[in-house]
Amino acid sequence: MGPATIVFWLASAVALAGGLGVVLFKEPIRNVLSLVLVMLSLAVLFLLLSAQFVFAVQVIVYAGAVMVLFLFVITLLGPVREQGTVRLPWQIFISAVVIAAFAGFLVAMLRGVSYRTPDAADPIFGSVQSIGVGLFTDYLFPFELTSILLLVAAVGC
Amino acid sequence: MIAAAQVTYTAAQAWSDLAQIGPIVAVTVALLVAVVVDLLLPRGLRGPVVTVIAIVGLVSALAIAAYRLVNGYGGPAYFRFVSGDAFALFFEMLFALIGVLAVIVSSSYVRRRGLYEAELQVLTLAAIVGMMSLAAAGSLVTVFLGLELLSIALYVSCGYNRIELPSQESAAKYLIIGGFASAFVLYGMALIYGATGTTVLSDIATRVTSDSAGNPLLLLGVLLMGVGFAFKVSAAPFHMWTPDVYQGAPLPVTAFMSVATKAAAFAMILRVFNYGLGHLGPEWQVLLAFTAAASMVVGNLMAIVQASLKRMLAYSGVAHAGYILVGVLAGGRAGVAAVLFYLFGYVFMNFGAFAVVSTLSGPAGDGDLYEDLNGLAYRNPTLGVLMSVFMLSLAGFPPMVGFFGKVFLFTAGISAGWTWLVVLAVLTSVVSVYYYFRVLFHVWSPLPEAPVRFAFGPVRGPVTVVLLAGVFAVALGPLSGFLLQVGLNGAAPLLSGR
Repeated sequence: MGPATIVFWLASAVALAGGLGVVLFKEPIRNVLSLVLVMLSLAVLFLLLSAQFVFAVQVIVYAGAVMVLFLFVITLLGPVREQGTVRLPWQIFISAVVIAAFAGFLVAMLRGVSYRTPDAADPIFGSVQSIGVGLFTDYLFPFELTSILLLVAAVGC
Repeated sequence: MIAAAQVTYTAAQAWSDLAQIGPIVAVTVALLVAVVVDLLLPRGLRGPVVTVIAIVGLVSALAIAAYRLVNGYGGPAYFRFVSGDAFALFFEMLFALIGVLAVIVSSSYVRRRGLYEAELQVLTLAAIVGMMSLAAAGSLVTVFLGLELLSIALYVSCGYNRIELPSQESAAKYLIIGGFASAFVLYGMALIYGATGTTVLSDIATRVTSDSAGNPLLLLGVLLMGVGFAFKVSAAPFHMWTPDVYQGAPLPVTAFMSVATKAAAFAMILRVFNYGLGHLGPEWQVLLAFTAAASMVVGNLMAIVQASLKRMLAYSGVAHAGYILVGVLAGGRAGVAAVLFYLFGYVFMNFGAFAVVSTLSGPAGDGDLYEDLNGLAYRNPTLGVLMSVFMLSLAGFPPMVGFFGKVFLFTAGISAGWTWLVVLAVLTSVVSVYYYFRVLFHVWSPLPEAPVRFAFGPVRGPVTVVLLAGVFAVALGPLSGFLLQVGLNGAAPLLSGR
């Protein structure tokens, strides 16, 4: 087991723990901080895939800027604990059964997968340069569509 | 120092790519102009001017699409991420048409309800850009972005009537369920990408052969995408959100999304399943056959017991999703053409029905109970007759377009061997006659003694739209041979390369 494998498992475990924290904590501040944890461990996973630029963007934009905005909004609104804690008793049971069934199904399906060998990577893969070229050639249409998507989100606010 | 990357994208190619997506460009330009104009003009002018800009943009998109369809349509553009083929052009024309109708109806509606006009038109344009991209998609990336663009625009539109609780409820439910469905779709796409190493649909079509059926990654991907798609077309058992969202949203938004989202989602299913994953047919057909059967039964039975017209039309939409899935399952040239034909007809009859209901709204709210239709045929004979036409068409009576649509779908289904599903579809169609005729009963009942809840204000816009939709719905019946030809033409790009 090489160091990369160990880092992968660690980062994945932290990401999962963060994800659970987002769902389970009752105070909004803790939810946001858990989300920061998820973002940071995802950044580590990106770095493992030699996507340095995405790693940096993930840390600066998501873990940094976006999460700070979240924190601002929550502190401005007052960090109140979650209000409606009343749940139907059978809901937890049903969701547990469904989650267990789906997880079991996933494990059963994915046990015998023979994964493809990855395609050989470009020498400039993961650099700012390769992302820039990709955005304005191969991925031009999705890139422009994304900008309209963001514009619409801004109009809708 | 890293070696310089080679960029080989030339200006000539850029122009030809831009021409391929001409209709999308036209709507996008209208959207951008509308956003800026909305900021510059004085308050009183904004609404009408933006509405005019939206109509101009949509009509030019329609003209460009028609021109390209007649004068030799294109193929893949932008590195196969999008396509200007006949299939895309068919849907682009359809969405431009619905867009024009929706913009006219909402313009009159927001004035009567005292809401802002400009933003709603901008959101409608944005949703149409998303739908057109979805229909033209050549890659899973484009599919997902188009899906999100149309969904986000519609989440906002649903909650457009901010001061009303049902509108907020509608937006919140649609946002949560829609986000959930998108997550399913995205997970499925990721697995498909993992299994094939590409997101481009034509590459997926060549790499996924019938031997790939044993690959669990592909199967899981198909399952997850199928669940997400079923949410989007509101097919049972993933239809629970539909009645609540349709009921709470402002009426023109409901009318628009009930037909346009359905058409866009079916375009997506045809592109991804029938084209990209065509060789996995036996796998996804099992999933969709169950969904189709459930939709027909649940949709038709639940529609009977509704008191609200919006909810009834929502459940009727679930049932129609079931019928259309028969054509998707049948596949092949006949099946895909039948789906395109049915969507074209369904758009006009369902939109027309909603537009009639939207004329009944006033400052006090929407009139969406059966009782609000009482004596409509005497209060406003045009609307009464047209509402009857729409209901007969939805029920599938000859010589309406709904009848021909069902005939094409069901014959395609039988010749592809889905006899049990077609038998179920015919039986449930018979059930549907009951609730469509209940509307007719109220429309043609004598004028009520008590004063009606909603008198007619100045509703010229919607009446025009209802007339247009009615003319289409009536005229498409006799013209169905021609339209089927257009549909067959549109189906061809999905079948080449097999």
